Amino acid sequence: MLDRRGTGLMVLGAALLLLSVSMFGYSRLVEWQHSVQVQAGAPPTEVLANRLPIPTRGAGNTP
Amino acid sequence: MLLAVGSGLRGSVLARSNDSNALSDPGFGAAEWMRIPSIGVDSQVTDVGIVDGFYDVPWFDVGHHADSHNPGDLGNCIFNGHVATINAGEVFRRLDELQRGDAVYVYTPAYRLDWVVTDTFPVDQDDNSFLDDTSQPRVTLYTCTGQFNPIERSYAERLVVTAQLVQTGPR
Repeated sequence: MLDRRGTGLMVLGAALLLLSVSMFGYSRLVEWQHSVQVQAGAPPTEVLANRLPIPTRGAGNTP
Repeated sequence: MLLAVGSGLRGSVLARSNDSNALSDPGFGAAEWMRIPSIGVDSQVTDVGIVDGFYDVPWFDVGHHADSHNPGDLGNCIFNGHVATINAGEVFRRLDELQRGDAVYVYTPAYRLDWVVTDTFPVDQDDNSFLDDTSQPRVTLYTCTGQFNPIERSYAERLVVTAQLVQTGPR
């Protein structure tokens, strides 16, 4: 009886793990597809600095 | 790594009252793209509204609070994004790596606005003070952080990053 319960729990755990991995993988695939689709609207690729100097005064200018 | 079921993060921040002036000034225009090179963010921006009393979070994009200011306006321009999910995106997964001095680039249809991170801090999930309006142009980014509650499908805290405008220019 205990063995059956243990086996059942193992099967259940494996199923849940498989489901989680599948959902995660599927979401990454959908995310990738989405990123490809929206790239058409992306700004042109350009060299951007990782860091910028922090202004000592607020730059509140408007166009 | 904490995992959440996508839309569960939708209820991440309680909606606040609308600012009637938020969308009245044309300024630089609406945000449509965001790049944060130091943490690999290169994402479309989607306006988000309020669903069931809470600000929505896009599945994969960066979300812009539709009732907050446009970038570069005098006021708080607020963005959100998922941190880690099983069945949705994780555009702000590395938001906790941002440091003071890191650059954030926001693109509108005609301009690129360059921002520099000035502060990063966690707040309790019920603390919405970071949504308050400001007298200067400010960008506020936030995502979920802290302990995940699987029953409520919500995180205990929000990670908030604020940035100051450095310069603007045409795209």
